[in-house]
Amino acid sequence: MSKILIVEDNELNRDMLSRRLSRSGYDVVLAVEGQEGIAMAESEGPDLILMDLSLPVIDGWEATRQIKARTSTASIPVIALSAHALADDEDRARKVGCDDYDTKPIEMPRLLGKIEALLRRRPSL
Amino acid sequence: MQTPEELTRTRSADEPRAPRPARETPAGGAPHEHPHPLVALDYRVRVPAMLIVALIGIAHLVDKPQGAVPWIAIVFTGLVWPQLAYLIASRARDSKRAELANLLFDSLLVGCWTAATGFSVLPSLMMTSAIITACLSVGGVRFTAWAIGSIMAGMLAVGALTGFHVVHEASLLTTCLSVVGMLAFTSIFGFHSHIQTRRVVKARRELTDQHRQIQDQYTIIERALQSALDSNDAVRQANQAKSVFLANMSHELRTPLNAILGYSEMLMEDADAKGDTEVVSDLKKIQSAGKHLLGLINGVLDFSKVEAGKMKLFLETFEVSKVIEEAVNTARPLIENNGNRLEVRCPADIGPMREDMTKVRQVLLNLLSNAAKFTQGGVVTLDVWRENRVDGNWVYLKVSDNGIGMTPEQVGRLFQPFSQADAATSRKYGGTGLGLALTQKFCTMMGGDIEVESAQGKGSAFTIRLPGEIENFDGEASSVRVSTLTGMKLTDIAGPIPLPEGQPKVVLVIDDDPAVLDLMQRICSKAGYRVIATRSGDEGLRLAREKSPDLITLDVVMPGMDGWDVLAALKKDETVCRTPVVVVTIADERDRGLALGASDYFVKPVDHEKLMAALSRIRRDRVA
Repeated sequence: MSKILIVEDNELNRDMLSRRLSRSGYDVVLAVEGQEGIAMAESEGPDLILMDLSLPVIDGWEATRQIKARTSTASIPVIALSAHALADDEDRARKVGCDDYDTKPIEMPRLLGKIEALLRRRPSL
Repeated sequence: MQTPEELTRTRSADEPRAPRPARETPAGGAPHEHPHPLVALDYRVRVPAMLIVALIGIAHLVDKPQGAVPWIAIVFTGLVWPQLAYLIASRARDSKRAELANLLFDSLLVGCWTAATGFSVLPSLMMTSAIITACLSVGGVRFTAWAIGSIMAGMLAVGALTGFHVVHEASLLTTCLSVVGMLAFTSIFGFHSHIQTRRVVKARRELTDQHRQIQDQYTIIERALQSALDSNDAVRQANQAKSVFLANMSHELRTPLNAILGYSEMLMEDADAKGDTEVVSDLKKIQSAGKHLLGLINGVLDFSKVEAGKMKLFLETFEVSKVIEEAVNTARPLIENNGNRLEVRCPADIGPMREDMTKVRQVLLNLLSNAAKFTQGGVVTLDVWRENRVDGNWVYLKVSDNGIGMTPEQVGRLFQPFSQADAATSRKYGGTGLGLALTQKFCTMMGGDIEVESAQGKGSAFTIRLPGEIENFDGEASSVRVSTLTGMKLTDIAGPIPLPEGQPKVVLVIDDDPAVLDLMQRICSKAGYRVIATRSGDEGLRLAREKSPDLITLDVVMPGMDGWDVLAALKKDETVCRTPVVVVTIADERDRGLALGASDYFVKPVDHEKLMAALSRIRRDRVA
């Protein structure tokens, strides 16, 4: 079972997303803000990270940059999630190392497709 | 020699033999309502001067009586001629010319009297010097040459009659009169030149004052311009702030919407699994309301992107029929929901076009769903056709319906954002009031336009026109594929463009967008110009000085030195300030551009033919 780390500060969205991913058969771990996300990426060793971009204190871009900078976590694929549908957000996200990008509100089939594609690319250890 | 009467008659027609006065005369035509000031001035001098000439004649006759003819001449000279001269000149069409002719007749009289008084030294000197001075001051050197000729003619004519009789010693009376005449004339002349000098001084002082006033006004205008520019910046900042606000708003709205849509979808899956159809149908309503809300938010976001100039065009070549099919398939359920019938008339060989496919589909879908919304049990028709016109090849998409239609007032407000036909309409039919405003913006961005015809109760017809031609270009043009909001595409190059005559003129193109540079280069070369292009303002300024181009086109929004700075610098530099500058930009600040000295101003997307026409017009004006 693949493990997915969700980094999301909004409680409703975190809850909703985690339940829907669990239903789809993923093992889900949760982080509320950027610093916690970086720590859990290291401690939990997830197969994939869903990273909200607008987080308090350390935002999603910075958190991703740090995750991609550490050798232990650099290979974990990151999908950025943003409610900002502006092109700038996606460009910035890809620059800091995000592997994919999706906008909220989440369309489950589309997001699942992106998750599957990234997991397939990465041979499970 | 002509008589003054003859001169008066012939002067305003072609007058090959009349003397040409040194100074320009007022254009002929209707008689002068106010005779030239010279006429009155000469009259005041002529009356005493001719009187003295007559008196000298009398003094001479008293010594040697010679019959009636000289007396008639004396009366004519002293009393009649000055009045007659005034009358002729003030009634003439061209009073100045007439007065000059009078002066020539004066000269003739002086010549006659010089001979008649036996060429006595003092009277002769007095009369000829007076008339020559007068002629010099009024008519200049060439005119004076004519006057001298006239004097000689008078001398010869009377001299021949009197056998060139010479008087060596003039009488005392004659001498006195001559001296008095000389003094009088020189005094009058001196006084007159004093007045002239005072006038010149006064005029010069007034001129200085006016110059100062103009300078003061110029300073005021400059200050006003500066404050206008400042407030313009403020407006731009406010607009920027609005866009940022809208983007943030959109974010804040999407986050809760995400939860609403997500949870309702989860519940729907659960209910579906349990077979609870009633709950499923209610949850579907939440879903569809949520998706509608998302659509509205996306509309607002799109609109703010267009307003902020951040909307991008992704150009690709696609089959027109494919987009039609997609849009029709999406819109068909909407149309049929209201009991409407959809008719599509599109030729099978409509062919490809190069545009932003998503936006073409979006605008078409918008028009179709509008037609569906405002029509009940009617017909919605989609007509597609291609047309070759003088200004290029165009693809037309026309959506017409026989629904509720609009009044002319409603049509007038149609494309303004957030303004539906009226508040009641939006309650009844829904929508943000952004759809058509966006549609219009997209059409303009894509180099086309949209037109509407409507009659209340009868229906509406919207016609979109988009450039349909496909220019073959090499791989290098891939930079154009993701062109920013320039609105100028390679398709714009096609079409007949007149070649400027003569040797190729040089155009300097300053624009930071490589796609625009490439395009301008193509358009200008096609129109026969030689093009120098640069992406930076500094470089542009340097090239303008070094290469002295015939024309400059200038973008405003550039990193570093922006277009306004470049324009100001160009206009300050004496070596290049006369080179016409055409501003081509997305910023709609025409007044500012023209105030800063631009010859013309174009807002992107630019109609390339209009641009080329402007360039060649400006070039022609400059040559002329």
